[in-house]
Parts: sequence; C-alpha cells; structure tokens
Amino acid sequence: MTVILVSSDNQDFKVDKEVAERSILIKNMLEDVGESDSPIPLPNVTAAVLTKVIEYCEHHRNDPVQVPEETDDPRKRSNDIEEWDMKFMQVDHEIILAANYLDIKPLLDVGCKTVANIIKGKTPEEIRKAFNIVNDFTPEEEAQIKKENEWAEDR
Amino acid sequence: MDKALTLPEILACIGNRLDNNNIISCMQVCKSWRSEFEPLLWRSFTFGQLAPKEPRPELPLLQKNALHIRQLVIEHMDPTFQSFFMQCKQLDEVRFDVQEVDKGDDEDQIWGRFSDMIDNHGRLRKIVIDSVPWPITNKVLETMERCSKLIVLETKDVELDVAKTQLYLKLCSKNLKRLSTYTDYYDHPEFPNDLVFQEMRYLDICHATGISMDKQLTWLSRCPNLISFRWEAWVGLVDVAKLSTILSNGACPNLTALHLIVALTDEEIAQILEAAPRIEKLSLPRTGFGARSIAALRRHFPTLRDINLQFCSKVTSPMVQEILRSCANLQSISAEALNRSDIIQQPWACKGLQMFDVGIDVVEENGDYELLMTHYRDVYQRLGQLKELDYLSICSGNQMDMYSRNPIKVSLEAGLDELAPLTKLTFFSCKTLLDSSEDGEGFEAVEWMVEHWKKLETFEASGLVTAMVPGGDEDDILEPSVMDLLKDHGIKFTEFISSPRGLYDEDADFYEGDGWTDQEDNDDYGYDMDDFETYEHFGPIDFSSDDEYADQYTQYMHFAMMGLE
Repeated sequence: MTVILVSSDNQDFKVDKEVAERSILIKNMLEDVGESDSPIPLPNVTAAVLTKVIEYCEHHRNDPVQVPEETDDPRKRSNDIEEWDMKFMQVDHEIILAANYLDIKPLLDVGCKTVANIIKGKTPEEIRKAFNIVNDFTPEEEAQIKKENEWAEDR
Repeated sequence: MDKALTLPEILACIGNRLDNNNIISCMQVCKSWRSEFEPLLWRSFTFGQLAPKEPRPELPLLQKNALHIRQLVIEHMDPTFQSFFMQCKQLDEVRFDVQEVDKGDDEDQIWGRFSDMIDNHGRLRKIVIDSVPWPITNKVLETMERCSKLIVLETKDVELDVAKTQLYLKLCSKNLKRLSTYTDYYDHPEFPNDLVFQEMRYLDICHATGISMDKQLTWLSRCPNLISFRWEAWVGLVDVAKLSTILSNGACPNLTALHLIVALTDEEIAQILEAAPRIEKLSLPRTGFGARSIAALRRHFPTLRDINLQFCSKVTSPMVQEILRSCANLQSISAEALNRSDIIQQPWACKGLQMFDVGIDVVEENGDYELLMTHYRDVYQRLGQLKELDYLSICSGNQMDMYSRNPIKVSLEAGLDELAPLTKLTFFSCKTLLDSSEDGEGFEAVEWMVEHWKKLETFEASGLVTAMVPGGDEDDILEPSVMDLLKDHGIKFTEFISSPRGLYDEDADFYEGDGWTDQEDNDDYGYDMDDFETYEHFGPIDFSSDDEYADQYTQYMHFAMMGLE
C-alpha cells in the first residue's frame, strides 16, 4: 500500500505506507483519516528535504520501531552513529528540522548527535563560526558566564 | 543561524549529548543559546562541602536555577542557603548525604531543614538517605510519608528504634514501589499485623540488623505485588520452609526475580525452586547450588532470563552447558567454568544472550598444538553466534582454580576473529588471559578488537596489557602501546586486579576472588524515572554491583574465621 506526500513546493511523492509511517506525524494523520487515498500535505518540508527524509526512512524501513532507551546515558552514546547515517547527515540542518516536524525520533537523534559531535571540544567562537551564529554578548558578559559556571566544569 | 538551531527541543536534544564543559561553551555563544543550554547544566547538582578548589555557585545563581534541578545531592546543609533548598520544587530525586555538622549547628536542625525542603513536595519520586552519622528524626519520616509522588526509597545505616520503625514501615507501605534497606539498624520491632505493602515491586533487604530473618520473611509475605526480592544477610539461618510457603501459597504471585545472597545448601535451593511458580531472574552467588538445584531449575528453563551462579563450587561445566543449550530466553549468565568438551555437545538455545561471563577452559590433549588451536576455534565459533552480546567476559576471576585449568587463549591464531559478528559488544574482559601473550600477539589481538567491535566502550584486562606494543622491535619507544590504541578509539580501560578473597561455603572451601570492579558508577542510578514501571532490578547491570557486597562479605567472613581460631 502506498501513500502520496506533498511537499511545500507542491511535488508529489509516492511512498510505501510502511516507509511513510516511520514519521509519527504521518502515522497519526493516516490513522485519523482512515482508509483514504487523499494526498498528505506537508507544508513545512521542501521537496529537496523530503527526498532525503524518504531516503532515510527507506534505508531504515526494517528497523524495529523503538522508543530510544532513555535509561542509557545519552552522553556516552554520541559516537555510535552508523556510517551510512553519518554520510547522510552531512547534508544540512533542514533535515533535523524536518525530522522534528515529522516526528521521526531516530532521525532527529542522529541529526542532534551529528551537531553535538561538531560542537565537542570547540571554543564558543569556533562554534559560532561552524554554525554562522552572531555573537550578541560583550566580552565582559561572555567572561562572566564562564566565571559563574566554573563550578560545573568537568575536570 | 539555521532555524533548526533556534528551536528549544532541538537544542535540548543536542545538549543531552554534551558534557558540562561543552554546555558552558554553548552558553557563551549567544543570548538565546545561553537560556536554552543553562537548564541542562543544572539537571543534576551536588551541593557539596566547600573545599578550597571547588567553587560553589553564588546564592543568586542557585536561586535562579533551583527549578532546573532534577537530581540533587546534598552533602552540606548550610542554613544561609535554606532559601535555595526550599526553591528546589522540581526535584525528581534527592540524595541526603550530609556527614558533618558545622560549629554551632545542631544535628536535629539539619534534619529539620531537610524535612522542610521536602515537605509536601509534589514531584519527588526518589529519596536516598546515605549513611548520615546521627539518628534520623521522627519528623523526617513523617514528612517523607507526605511526599505524594515518592515511589523509591533507599536508606543506608539508618537507626530505627521501635517507634521509628513503625513510621518507616508505614511510609514504605504507602506508595513505595521500590525499597532498599541497606545495613539499617532496627530495634527488634514487632511486625505490625495489618500492614500490607500494596505497591511494592522491588524489595531489597540487605544486612538488616535487629530484625530477625523470620520477620524479614514476614515483610516479604506482605508484598502482594512484588516482582523482585533481593535478600542478603551475613548471619542467620533461612527458614526455607517459610520462604517456600510464601512462594507457593500465592502471597507474592508475581515474584519472578530472586536474588538470594544468604547461606543456602543445594537441598534448600532445590526446595525454593520447586516452590516458586515461575523464575525469570535468579541470582545465587556463593551458595551451594548443585545437582539437586539444577534438577529443580529445569522447570524454569523456558522463562529463565538471567542467572548468576558465581563462586558456587558445586556448579559444574555440564550444568552451565545445560542452561545455555536449554534456556531460549536467557539474556545473561555468570558462572565460573565451562569446558570446550561440554560446549561442543549441543548447540546453544540462547540466541538473544546479552551478557556472558563464564570462564572457558580447553583441555590440552597430549601437547598437540594443532589440535589445541582447532579446539580454541570451536569455542570462538560458538561464541561468535551470540550476535546480541553486549558484555563478554571469557575468563574466570577465580585465580586459585586457574592453576588446574587451561583457559582459552586470546589471539587471532586461536580464533578470536570468529567473534567479528559481535557488533553490539560494549564491554569485553579477558582478565589475565593476555598476560602470557607472545611477542606482539596481545597487541595484535587488541588491534583487531578495536577495529571490529565498533561499539566497544570498556576493555578490561590486567595492567600488564596496557604497555604491550606491536611485535618486532621492542626498543622502539615511539611505537604506540595498547593504551594509545584504546585511547584513540575512545575506549575506557579497566584494570583487572585479582585480589585474594577468602570465601566460605558449606564445604568450607576457600576461593580466590574475582577482582571485577564495578563498571557502573555506584552513584549512577542508571535508569530513568519515567521508566520506572519497566525498570528491572536484577538485570545484567545489577549483577555487576555484586562485588561491592562481596568485598564486605569477605571481610566479615575473614573476621568470623579469625574468631573461630
């Protein structure tokens, strides 16, 4: 069984229902409308991004749908990104945004892990450069944050 | 900035994967990031003793962030900070670990302040009272009872006189799902006749003094919804008939996990296993588990998920093999020894095994080197089929016993490469096995491991291993060592230290101990509060904490033996 997804720029995507249902948003929508052939509009996702997201869901279609185990310390686990996923995530942050909107938890996790790995070990200035962020602190304010949070530093 | 990096839920998801230093760097990036990342820094906070090198946040900063704290450890309760403590209204967990009283302060007042901060707390789900060196007050016990969300209580070294015991038991009977009473002192209380612990799922009574073994069993019998019972006692005889009756008469129909670290003979264990309707998790280290027990256990093979038979002198290799080949749902096994000759008899049924901690022996036949190598490979091939393995330890820690053994060799030549399918492995231990490796062989083995086990987080071996370098030119100090190799791959090295540990069982056998150190930080609760319903008390992680108890047991036995002399 297939469903039709419509991107924000009005492109149709025909995908297996099983693949589309990796997105909890779409899964819920399908459950709500019941048996229906009407296309599903996704006004927040462009065709370019949707192509990538579908590619991800196809690749992971056979993964067990699982609630990620929150019992594990997530801090330990940011290194275990599969090679395929790693290459995949090199695209851009639009995918993270789409994963968040479409509610595809594993894809969101991989995306956030990727960003976290970029941040690790970088200075605030290096982080700004990496993500093109404008500094709105004065040097004094920045130093103040560092100072007042010294207690929390891992040594 | 990308829109993705402005959304709170995405930033929180990123922040969850960063350590504090990286979070502080993120807070300095820009104003919006500061407000999103700051709460993450405070989720878990320790109000520690003020040491010169440990800066404490100023009071205004503490007050500003009090509502972000979910887990709080209190090592000091300075009255000038009381306003901060009172503001911690979003706590899930609090650990009260105050060990000293400031000059001019009063012990009861400290309890009073703690009592004030938790009074009518609408969120607290877990309280730990950790070895506070002065008596708990009635008021604190009464206040804890008023924490409407409280479901987990752990107490250690708490002194409970008769009146306090009544308050304590009443508190426990209210909503608690999990209780751990650890070396608490009771004053021979009467067990209230009508008290039922309706919600209790996990009961852990460890070295409780001043309350008889018989009353401890009465306590067990009053927990109709119990899933798991952990019972540890240095002294005292177990009324096996009473325990068996509780198990068989439906007093705890859901009780499927038994973790008994008490003196039990083979016969007694058999009696308990015959009485139990269904066993999923069984931990009987240092007991007389033997032929009678295994016969009684057979009935539970279909449901058995975890079993720990470490330091049981009567557990034989064929018994371990029988468990592995019969228990299709087995997830973890810990035992002393398994021989290759038994392994090859039948295939293993436990396809989903996640933890394997058994010393493996291969009997040398007439010094035939080629034959020996094929025997090693037999074993590795079998282990290589356990694709779900997360934790693998193939050497017994039982040093004394090892002289009479021929433990499996860890090398590529012996067949280590058969373990390539174990892609989920996060912990590997070979204890002392690599020590006698020939030139370069040990390095080569570790090199292979880090290359093939991508998820490996911890590698345990003896300290000798860390200095191993690739074979050949030994004088070249520039060569990387095993330590460098592990570091490059972000793998933690844990040193296996074999420490002699006298143990005593019904046959008065002495054992040397397993120097296995805790891989989990004891302060790390290792579970999420929201997952409480599914949190399993006696999973593989729990077994690893046995060592701590074991050490104390040993110490005790040591003194007990000296007393006898």
